[in-house]
Amino acid sequence: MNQVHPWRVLAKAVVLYTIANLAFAAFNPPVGKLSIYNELVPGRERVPYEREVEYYSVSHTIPVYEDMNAMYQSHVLSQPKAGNEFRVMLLGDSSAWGFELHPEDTLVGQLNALHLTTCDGKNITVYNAAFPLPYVMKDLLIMDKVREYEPDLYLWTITLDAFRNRSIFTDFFLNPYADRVLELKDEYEINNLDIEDISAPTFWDKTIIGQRSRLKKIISLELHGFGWDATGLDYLYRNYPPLSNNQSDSLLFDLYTPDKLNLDLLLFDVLKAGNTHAGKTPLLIVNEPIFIATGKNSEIRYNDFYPRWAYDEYLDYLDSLMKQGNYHYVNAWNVIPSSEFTDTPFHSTPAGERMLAELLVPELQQLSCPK
Amino acid sequence: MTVLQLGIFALAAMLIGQLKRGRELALLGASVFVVYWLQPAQQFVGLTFWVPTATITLTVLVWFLISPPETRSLKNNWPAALVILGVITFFDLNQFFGFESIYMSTTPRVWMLAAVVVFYLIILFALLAMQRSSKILSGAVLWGIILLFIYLKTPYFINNSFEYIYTLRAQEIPDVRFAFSWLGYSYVAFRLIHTIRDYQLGRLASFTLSEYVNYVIFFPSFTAGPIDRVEKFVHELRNPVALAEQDWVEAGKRFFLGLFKKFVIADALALIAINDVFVQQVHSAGWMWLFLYMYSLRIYFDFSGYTDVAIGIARVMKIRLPENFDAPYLKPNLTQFWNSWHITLTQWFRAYFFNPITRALRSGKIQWPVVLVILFTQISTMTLIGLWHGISWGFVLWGVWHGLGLFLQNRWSEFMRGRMKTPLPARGQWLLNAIGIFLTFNFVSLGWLFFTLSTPALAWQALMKLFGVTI
Repeated sequence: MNQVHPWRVLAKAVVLYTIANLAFAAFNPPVGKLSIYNELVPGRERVPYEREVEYYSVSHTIPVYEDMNAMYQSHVLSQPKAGNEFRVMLLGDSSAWGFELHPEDTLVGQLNALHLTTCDGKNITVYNAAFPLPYVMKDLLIMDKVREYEPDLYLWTITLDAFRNRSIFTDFFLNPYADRVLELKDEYEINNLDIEDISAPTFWDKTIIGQRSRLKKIISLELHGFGWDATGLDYLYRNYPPLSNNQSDSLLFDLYTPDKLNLDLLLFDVLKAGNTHAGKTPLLIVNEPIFIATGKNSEIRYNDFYPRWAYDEYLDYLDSLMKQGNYHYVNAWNVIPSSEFTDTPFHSTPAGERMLAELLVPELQQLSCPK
Repeated sequence: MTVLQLGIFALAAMLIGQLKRGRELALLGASVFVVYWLQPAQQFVGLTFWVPTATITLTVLVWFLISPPETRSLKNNWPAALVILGVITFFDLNQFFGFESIYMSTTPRVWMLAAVVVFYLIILFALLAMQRSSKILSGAVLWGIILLFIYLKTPYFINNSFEYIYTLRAQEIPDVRFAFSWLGYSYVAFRLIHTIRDYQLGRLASFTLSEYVNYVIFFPSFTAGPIDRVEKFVHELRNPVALAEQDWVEAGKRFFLGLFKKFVIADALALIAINDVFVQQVHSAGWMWLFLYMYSLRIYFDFSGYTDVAIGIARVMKIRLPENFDAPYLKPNLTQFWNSWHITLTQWFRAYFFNPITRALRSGKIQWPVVLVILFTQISTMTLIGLWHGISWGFVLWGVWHGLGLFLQNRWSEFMRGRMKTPLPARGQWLLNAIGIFLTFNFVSLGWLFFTLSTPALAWQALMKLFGVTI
């Protein structure tokens, strides 16, 4: 019997492990592309997301924002495109993703339930590519990613809150894609994008050791696929108190007072970048509905998020921007009655989503017709 | 425990194992340190210090109790006493280092240490004065350990105690379920009971303080076993055999295999193992069976992974811990399953409950029918094993499930013994074996429902769903 020498075994293990790490860092294999979704288990109807770690196992999900390959490979949109399919990609925040809504009740679910067709007979299928963060730069990055899934039209829902620079979102959502973010920033001259702290991963960050958290999340997401298939649940539906019609008398929007807000500092350039980045694929921008309070101090504020002065200023600015740039644009800010909102001034009930869907039908059909 | 902690254990063990002198004391220091290091933070901050201190104190007290006066002398034991007190004092130095995240979540205050030292001195003089421990005292301590065990494992008692403390402090009782963790007590208690019982029966050898404390809180097996026997452990501690290259290979293999089983396989399976949420959300029997099987595999890989790690770490310190698992899911009947699942726990119960109670029933004044003796001993033993995990109806039902299973299997074997005159051909034997493995695995898996789900009602709901009945 051959004698096994422990120190040689150890040395070989260390060498092999080092080589594996270096090779992984050098070639950066697209691990997230390997998936059981759409193969062993059905694809998800929206990207995996849950706010609180302790509920990952209850909602059979785990957010993997560090790896958009894994995020969208688990999604139905990574299925091959059918010949008679007209693909619409929905971009946006938590209201587009559908907090407190079952997938069939979201804007995407409502639009697909209408069984829309293009004027040349193709089936219009809408995919929920939204990630629930109000941040337009994240939407641009997602638009950049989902281009590989052959969209025929982008539907991008926005709101004032999503135009703010927010380092916390940069830290965790943009940082893993720092190289691409910097390219997009330079290419489209998004000069007011505050990404001072963004840093591209070093070589060591790209090793297996450096990527262990991402790899663990990818494996977890794959395993959660069984729970998703067995239960059909991808979200923990919570009880929430109804929104109050009464508002505070604060004039603050974020940290801005009426004399301080300069809309030029907000990220409207990202919208322009998105319009250019979409290329020949049409882009429909929708200013998403908000809760409009009618009680105490409602003459000062629309809701918890927006004082009237800030939102009105934003509405005027957005209207003029859309007109100047000749964008395809639907301003839906006030189409849903306040009774149809759920836990925040942006999240609506199935009936509210239905109203928005019906409002968008003519635009969608017009944009889906070949010129 | 984390991979990092286990890695540190392994490195420490390699160093300790290589010591030519002072190996026993170094091991003692490491073990005492680990008792404090692993203790999770508690609702009341001071408990994070007092709970490990109580573990050490209880161990030292039992050693006094079971040791003859000549073994207890200060002359033989002062280095060990110094190491124990030194490590405890070391934790107080944390206030100067601020290394809370590294070795202790809270720094004990000086008065706590002073209290420990004074307490130890009082006990020391009291016990040194005692010539030989009385049977009554050892019996009282034995029952004290058992009652403390029952208290710690009963959520009702823990909750009431916490509420009482809040009331005493005139503080508002928080609206939470109180969690209290006495790390390692389940295993420590079994080692203490084993030695006290052997002492009472007059079959226990004598050990120095260092040897005994090392046995009880041996850091690789402190939290998850295996439960060694004191004579065997101390024999290896006293007579270390130099490690050959093959021993290093074996130790390394067990350690890394254990890490892989625990942190890769078991932790991954945990995401698809049956739990309360799945029982409520899943409606298909097929998925329920899959998740149940995943739980069976998960609990095996988790537990046997820890055992492998403990055996590997102990090995490099020249101590062979007993095996705890032997391919239990490949056994063709329930008796063989229990001879290969958590082996050291089963052996402990056999030695200290099953055999004595069987002897007592068979040799008692009342002549019990054999069948009744088997039924009673099997069910009571397995129920106690269930209760060892925690005092709840779920664990009782799990124990009864296995007790009944063992009884039925015993009766079936008895029934078949008279009828199987000629041995089966090889293929028939293979088929019988395969059917046995299948039935045993499924029986054990169904039993896990009572073990893992939070209430018997949920376990019942799961059982019904597994057979296609939705309630």
